[in-house]
Amino acid sequence: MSVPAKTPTRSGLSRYVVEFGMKAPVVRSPAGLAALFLLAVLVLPWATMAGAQDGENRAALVVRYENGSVETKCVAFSEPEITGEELLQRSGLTVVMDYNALSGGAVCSIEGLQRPAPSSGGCSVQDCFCHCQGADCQYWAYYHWVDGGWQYSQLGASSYRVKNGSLEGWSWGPGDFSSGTEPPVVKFEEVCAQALAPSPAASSGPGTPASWLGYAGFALAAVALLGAGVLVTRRRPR
Amino acid sequence: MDTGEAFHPFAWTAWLVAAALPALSTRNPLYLCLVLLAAGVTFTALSNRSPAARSWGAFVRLGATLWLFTIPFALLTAHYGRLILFRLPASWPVVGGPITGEALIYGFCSGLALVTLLLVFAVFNIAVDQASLLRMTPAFIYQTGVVAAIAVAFVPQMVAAWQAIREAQEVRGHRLRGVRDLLPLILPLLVTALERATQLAESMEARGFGHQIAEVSSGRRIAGQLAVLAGLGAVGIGLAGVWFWPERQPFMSLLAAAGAVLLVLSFWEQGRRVRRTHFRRWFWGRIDRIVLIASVAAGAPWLAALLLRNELLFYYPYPPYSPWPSFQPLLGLAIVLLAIPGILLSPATTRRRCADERSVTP
Repeated sequence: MSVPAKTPTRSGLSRYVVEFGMKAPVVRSPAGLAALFLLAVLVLPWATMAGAQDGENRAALVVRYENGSVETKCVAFSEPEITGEELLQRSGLTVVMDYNALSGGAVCSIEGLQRPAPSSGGCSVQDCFCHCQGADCQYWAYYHWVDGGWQYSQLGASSYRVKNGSLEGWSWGPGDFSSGTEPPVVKFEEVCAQALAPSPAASSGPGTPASWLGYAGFALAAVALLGAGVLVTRRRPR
Repeated sequence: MDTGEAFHPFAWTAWLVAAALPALSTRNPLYLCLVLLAAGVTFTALSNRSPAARSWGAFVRLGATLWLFTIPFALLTAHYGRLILFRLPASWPVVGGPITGEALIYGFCSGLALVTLLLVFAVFNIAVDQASLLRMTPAFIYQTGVVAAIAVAFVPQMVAAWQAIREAQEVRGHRLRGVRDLLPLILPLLVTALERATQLAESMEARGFGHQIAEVSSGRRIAGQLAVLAGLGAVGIGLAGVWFWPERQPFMSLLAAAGAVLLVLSFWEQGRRVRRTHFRRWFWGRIDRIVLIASVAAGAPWLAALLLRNELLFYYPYPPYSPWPSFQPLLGLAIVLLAIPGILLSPATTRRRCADERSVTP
């Protein structure tokens, strides 16, 4: 009777990953890796071009700020439906959203980076609901225009689908988890009869870093630590 | 097994706090990579000295598995960013929409923070052995520490016993077909475990382990427990009140502070009742002071940045922010100081503890 050999103690998942990664033929050969890398580099510029902005579908966006001022945008899109968060992004407003929570994105601030006082636009992403502590709660509430009136949205901006002819509202004000401050009554024809919102310039990418000097400091520190590692390795007793 | 440390365990604890601060306070990948490098230098220096560094591989594998969770989660749920990799059909419920590079970066950085924290603790685990950890526990939870140490030491013994029982039963022709066939395996394991526990308890009793707590009247004991309860309640109510009733904030913070003071006093009083004698003293030398100063110098800028200038530690790749991380040279220099214990450790450093070679298990 043979005694079962001792298998190396490796958890099932990590063993699978290691074996799969090692055995995939493309990854194994250096030529395969180089080809993959080249493919990614070539595809990336094409991939960064944003989807078509012009289209036959229109949706209207109404934003009411803390001081009562109202901004309206008309957004055109070619897909049959877009999400509420895409509507916000394509409107050209500067929106900060927080993706830390499990339930999709939460709107922290709209145009909050431009305006001087943080309370007029919202909160920073580090504390998305900074004005919603305890009893007194102010936040960006999402409303849909349904049957001649504003209806509080039951879904978040990432989940709700906006169709052709929808009127969406975002309003900053006091509220709780089932109600907020309603936006003012605006007609869809008033918003979308005017010129369309200029589609945000198809950004070619994330841009360049603010300062290269900081990165020089990082390179220096990394080299210093690697040098220390080499020094310590050399001291290993042979 | 005897590892011994070249530095005082309190110096290692200071190093741990200074190394864990960046991992807990930021997701900036530049700082986290530097912390990983510093931890790697320290690990290399430690593995020169002791063969007990075998557990490092398990920690690295566990860390790599974390990325398998954070990266897909961020990629598939956050459809936001300027760098679009590809698009999934929008009709799919949660994952439909553009898959962006910023989400990939964010998932990677979240995983990197967790991996860094894990590996920093792994280095500390190699540097300070179990007996020293137990000695460092405060007096009032000393008994809990002993129980935890015994449980941790028992796990590998039980795993070995389980394998031995399985082999013995297989030799006798036992086949594992269903749940009921587990009984001939579990029953001997339970009996073995009980036997070993009784043996250990008897031997510890013979060495006088049960009589460390000084006897006090039951009234004083109950008063101590009530004080702990009251302190915890005050701290809880105070902290919740600071959040819920901002207009009464001074009173609520005072309540929380009073509760904390009450807790500290009652723990100190309970700790005084535990009699522990150390017959091997730890030696606090000049090199331990250097390690402590280096750790404080590494941790102080980060603590200051965390409390005062939080925006320096902020990293959020999604628009309208930029995915390019920022880097402050002062904070980077603080992390480089974390490698000093590794450089000071040389294989020739003799252990500074007592002349006795073997460590005594509690």
